[in-house]
Amino acid sequence: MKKIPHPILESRKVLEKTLHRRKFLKSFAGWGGAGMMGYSAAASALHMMVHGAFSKIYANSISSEPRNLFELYLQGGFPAQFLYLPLRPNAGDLYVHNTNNSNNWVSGAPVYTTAPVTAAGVTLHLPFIWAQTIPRAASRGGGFVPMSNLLTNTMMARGFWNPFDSHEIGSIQISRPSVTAPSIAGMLIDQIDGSRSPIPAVAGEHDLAGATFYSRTKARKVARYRRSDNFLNPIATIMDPFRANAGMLGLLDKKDQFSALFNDALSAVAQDARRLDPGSESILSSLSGAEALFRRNFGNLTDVYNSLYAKYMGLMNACSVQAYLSSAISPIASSPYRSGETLGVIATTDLRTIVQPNSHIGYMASAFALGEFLITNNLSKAVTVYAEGTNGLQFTAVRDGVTTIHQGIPNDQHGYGVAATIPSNNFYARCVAACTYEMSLALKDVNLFDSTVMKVGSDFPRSPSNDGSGSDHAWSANGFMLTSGAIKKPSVIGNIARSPYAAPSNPALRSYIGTWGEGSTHNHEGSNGTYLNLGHYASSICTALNIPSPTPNFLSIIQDSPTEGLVPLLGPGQTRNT
Amino acid sequence: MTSKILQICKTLFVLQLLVVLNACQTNVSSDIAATPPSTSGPDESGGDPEPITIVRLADRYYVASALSQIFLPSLADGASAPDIENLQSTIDSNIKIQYGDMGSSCDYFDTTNYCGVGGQSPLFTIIESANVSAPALSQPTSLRAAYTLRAVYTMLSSSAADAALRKAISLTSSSMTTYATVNFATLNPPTLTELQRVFQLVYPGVTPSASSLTKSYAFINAVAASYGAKDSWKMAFILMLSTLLWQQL
Repeated sequence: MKKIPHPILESRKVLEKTLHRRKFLKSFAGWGGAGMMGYSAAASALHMMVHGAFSKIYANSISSEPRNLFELYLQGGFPAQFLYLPLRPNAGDLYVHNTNNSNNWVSGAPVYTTAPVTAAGVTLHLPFIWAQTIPRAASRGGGFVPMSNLLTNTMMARGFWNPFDSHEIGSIQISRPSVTAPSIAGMLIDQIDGSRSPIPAVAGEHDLAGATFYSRTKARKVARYRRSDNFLNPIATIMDPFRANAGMLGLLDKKDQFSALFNDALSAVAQDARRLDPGSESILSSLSGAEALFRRNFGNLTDVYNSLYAKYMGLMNACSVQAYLSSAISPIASSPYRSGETLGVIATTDLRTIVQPNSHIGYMASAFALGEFLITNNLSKAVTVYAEGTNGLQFTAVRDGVTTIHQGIPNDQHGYGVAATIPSNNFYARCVAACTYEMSLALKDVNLFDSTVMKVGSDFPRSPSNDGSGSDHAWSANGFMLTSGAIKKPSVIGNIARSPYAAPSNPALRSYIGTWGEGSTHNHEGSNGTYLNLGHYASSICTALNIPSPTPNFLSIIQDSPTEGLVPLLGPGQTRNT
Repeated sequence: MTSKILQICKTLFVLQLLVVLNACQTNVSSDIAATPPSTSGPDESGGDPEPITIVRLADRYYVASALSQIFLPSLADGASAPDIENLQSTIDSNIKIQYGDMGSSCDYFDTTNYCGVGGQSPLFTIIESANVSAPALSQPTSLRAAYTLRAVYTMLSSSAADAALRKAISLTSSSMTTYATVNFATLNPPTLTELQRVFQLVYPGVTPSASSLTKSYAFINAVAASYGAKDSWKMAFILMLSTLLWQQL
């Protein structure tokens, strides 16, 4: 396959072949008689020009306004092979089955089922639910639409290695891969003026999601929402600073009657008061942002939140009543895959009934409600939210002679068994797809879909156990799903290994044989043996956002084409032998 | 000498290359070209990153203290306890407990006084809320501005507004120099001299220019003509505090 030149890498090579900027400027300063401590006037002019050259190289790949970021973090290590980690996306891909890879149940046995799905002229072999339907919001006419509608604007990337096997570190480093640099959301808001994002960055009040945020220039995480499904209103919490009482509005109104005189005086006072330090302008712009929001009427925020919450909860509930399995899982009692170490032996006869009409994903309705409100109202450019496991399930299992009714399954599915997790995870994946699709429509309504990137990611996906009893951490197999109007065609990028732990030299790992997504080598950064890591992960998302990367030495695997939008830099993801 | 000449030639050659390179770049965003991107690590030479602007703002204790000095009377001044409590509560709720937006993380004293939110445990408050969310350096944001403005406007429009204004006037008026002697019935709009005192109460050590005093005076007089002396004094303090630059260290 022909290697695609990377624009930043190629440009960097051009400059490296000429002369290093700093050395060049210092030598020029010396020539001008200014000494080594400073630059001469001529050198300063050159500095500007050279800086301009670098800026334009940068601008070739980052050519417009930074995009909004809506980041949905699936807490706990979501089994991504049900949604955005396709294990054999191309016809004829190598594949080795492992029981806990299964996403379907056929003839009494768990299997991994794909279906060819075509969108925008591209056919991919994806987890079979992509060929099914997802519910549409009642406000848009209700009913169901093909899930491939979402695929058109979706890119999936896989095969990234986490540096550690840790929920905590993994969840932090997908958002902030370098401790010496800002987080991705921090890099984003560092690039923008406060007036364009009055609430610079918002994060869900998850202990880990909150810890990921770091910005070093204008702002940092300044508003949060509480863990809630319906008992707190995160929108009201975040908008609270801009809630003005009647007395305050009365004074503001009086002032506004003399706004020309006030602004004239304010400018003059600010001119006298400003410090020599740079940055005073950003203080004044924060004033205008605050005053504007005091006056902006969003209506009753309780009604606003309840309406959005009900919309997304309704979508998830609707996901529960659709067929998402190609056949019934019944009778379970005779299946060798009915048990999990944690659950015990499942007693529920037809596992399709695990998912109930009120089933939903923990905190997901709040997360999407908050994201839609903040981004569609241009209140924030970076919203990081999180969702947990599946709630509202109902099934029974017997362990050590004790029968227990279970109502939820977490994403961290050690010992949960393939029987219970197949219907639950398919339901989860459809919920993510349905909510993401609805938010994409909401963004289209206000013409922000092209300028927003919705990212779905997790600590890591799962490595399966061959006896079907559960799954472990696949920290060498991370990935993400991006959905944006800037993506015009679907794609799956990133090479994975066919059967990572097939070697009999390590018997302890043999239960994890099979194709489950461990990252393989790539023809990238001038080498055919490059493994992708979270540096590449971050750089790729930053490319999608039109911002510099916090890990610039790990090059993006996607590019922002002026004509084609966001497209892969690497070829279609392959499955390699190792 | 030869090496110097070679160096000059090399420099000029590179200069030409860079001019060509500049001219060849297309599809350049004017915004980005004008504002070079910040880098997160050392440049190719291993030197320092590109300079970035980091505004250093005062933390919540500084802001609360400044507002208290201007607007918060004491019992010794002759203010009533409910008025003092009202004004103190406004400063606390808008400034002192806003560690996430106004800066300064929470210590154990804060945990039981200003940072204990929603019945959270001290451990949760200190580790998760404060040390995770509070900025190491406070930055200008619309939320920070909103909290500050809301504190000022609320104090000057609440049931304790007269107490707050009386205190502020006593610090800047030429004739009514104590809390007790401030008389709203005989109050006149601020003079130029009094406006300068308001300015210097907010910006100690800075002398306002004639231009800013004249323009401030024009605004204050317009308010006074429509709403009287009392509101003109309120607007004088609102004007000076609205720049928010007094929070820059």
